[in-house]
Amino acid sequence: MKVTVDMVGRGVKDGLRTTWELAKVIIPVYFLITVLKYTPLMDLMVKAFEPVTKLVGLPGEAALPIVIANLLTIYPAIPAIIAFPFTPKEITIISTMILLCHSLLVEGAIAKKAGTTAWKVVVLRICTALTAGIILNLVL
Amino acid sequence: MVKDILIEATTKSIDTVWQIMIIVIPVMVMIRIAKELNLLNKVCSYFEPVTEKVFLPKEATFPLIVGMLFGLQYGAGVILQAVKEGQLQGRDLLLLNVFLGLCHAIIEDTFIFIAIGANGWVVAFFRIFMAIGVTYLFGRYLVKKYDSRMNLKIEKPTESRAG
Repeated sequence: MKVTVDMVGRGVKDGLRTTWELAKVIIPVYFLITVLKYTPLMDLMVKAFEPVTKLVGLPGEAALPIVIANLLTIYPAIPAIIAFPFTPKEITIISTMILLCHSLLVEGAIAKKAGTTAWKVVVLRICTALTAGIILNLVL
Repeated sequence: MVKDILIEATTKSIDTVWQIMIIVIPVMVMIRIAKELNLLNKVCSYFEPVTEKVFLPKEATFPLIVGMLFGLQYGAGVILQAVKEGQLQGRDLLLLNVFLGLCHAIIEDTFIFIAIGANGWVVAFFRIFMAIGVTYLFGRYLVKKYDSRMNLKIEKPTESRAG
């Protein structure tokens, strides 16, 4: 029962691997989003999502990280957060919602493998994330 | 204009990766040490009352804590192990997946979002709070449904649990 140098080494390797996985996603996606920001498509998207994101006290831009996190994973959602000038409160709300409900395709499959009906978990997660967003917007 | 965009995107994305790296490496070292020293086995017993509050058997505590702290991939392995040993059944699995779906890998995830400016305390504790609340409500609903079904069809074998 002792912490060995090997153990720390493996931990550092884990950290570097996670950072590398993040970097591979964050850098290219950040470029795509920066380009998207300067196209009229972004304005259209913001206007389309504003009524929904207003419910949880977020500007229309917040739909981008939330949609990305649910369709893909939380990693590409990170550049979609930092690309916009969100306030700390908005970042906290987006982060909590994303963490409660993300990668529905992949994690639904894992839930199935772990032996349960995936759709119930998915529906509950979506509802919980929305509730969390509404509560946090009121209390923060 | 285009040059400005390129410079902004390059510096800001690399800066973000750097911020995450200096936080994630020490966190992963701590997680690795906790995993390899099996520290969780020792703290599990403290959480058994909470597990039972959300209508799960106390055998679910270890998969629950492992998945919550270390992640779904890792947690699923521990759940499968518990299923093989026959400790968890249909309803338990569904509830466990509801909880872990909402609340997994909280250490790693929380620190990554701290790196980009979120309030880590709010993110982590609110996530745990919502997960416990939803699992409790869903568990209570399942228990009621299951019990009433049992009263209606008393002659049916009761092993076929919901889920």
